[in-house]
Amino acid sequence: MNRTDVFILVIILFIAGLIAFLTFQPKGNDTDTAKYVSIQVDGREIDRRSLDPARDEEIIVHGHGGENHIHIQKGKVDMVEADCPDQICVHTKPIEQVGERIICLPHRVMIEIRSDSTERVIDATVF
Amino acid sequence: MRRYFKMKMTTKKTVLLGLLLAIGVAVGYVETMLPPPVPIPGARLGLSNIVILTVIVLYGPREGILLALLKSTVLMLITGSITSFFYSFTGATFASIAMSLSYRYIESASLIGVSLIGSSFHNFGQIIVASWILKTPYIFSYLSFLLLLGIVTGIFVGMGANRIVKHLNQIGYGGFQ
Repeated sequence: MNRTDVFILVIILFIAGLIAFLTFQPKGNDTDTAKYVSIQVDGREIDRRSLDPARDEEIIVHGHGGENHIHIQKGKVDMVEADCPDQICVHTKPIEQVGERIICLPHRVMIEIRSDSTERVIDATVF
Repeated sequence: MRRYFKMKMTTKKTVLLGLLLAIGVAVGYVETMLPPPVPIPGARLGLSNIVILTVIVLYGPREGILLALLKSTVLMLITGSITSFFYSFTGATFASIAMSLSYRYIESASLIGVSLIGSSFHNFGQIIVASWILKTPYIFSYLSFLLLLGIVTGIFVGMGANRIVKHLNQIGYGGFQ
């Protein structure tokens, strides 16, 4: 490597740093705060809670023939307890992205994360 | 226009270009097996620029660009992936044009400097394709990370091409028309 090569390398490093600086976005921008949790029983929305990372609350949903305990913490929603026979909803992992759902079929309870903007967050595209 | 794309082809040159193309395709195919450095489907490091750079040095820009286009086309036939063809095609075209120009006009740079520019443009081309395919400009935030990786690849490619050119010259295969 001679001096010109080092000069080229420094220029590339500078451009990389510049792009990193320009595209850097602090976490928790306004698209995150616009998310909310929609709690539905039998297809009807009975409750709606904002998905604020600072929020920490537990909600009890009365579904068909039982109760579901939902825990909202650090911007994630988790079904912590339910007295349904299959317990599929309890074993579902915590959800945080728009469009993700936890469904308890026996109690006909559905929890979905939605956003005020119609744009959906896509995590991958396959061609 | 026709005269511009006409190049002198001797049997020796055809054979050597074919061999280098085969090496480039093999390197490119091995590269598809490596885990992608960034979460962009189809993006690659661009190690096969080593062959393109060798051809640019030995024969010139036209042969280099031709080899880059042939390499991505043959690689598509092997892997069967149209998406990575677009990445590979654009990346190789950008890289070969950038390397041809910088080899010609930045005379004080060694092959390492030339390949550094080449791999930067390779990544730039791939990011353009990614933002076109995924339809989001936010993919450009990966460019800085890709550029840093490209520096490592670029130095490696430059050193490799340097050795290949040296040895081909020693056995009398380089620098002839």
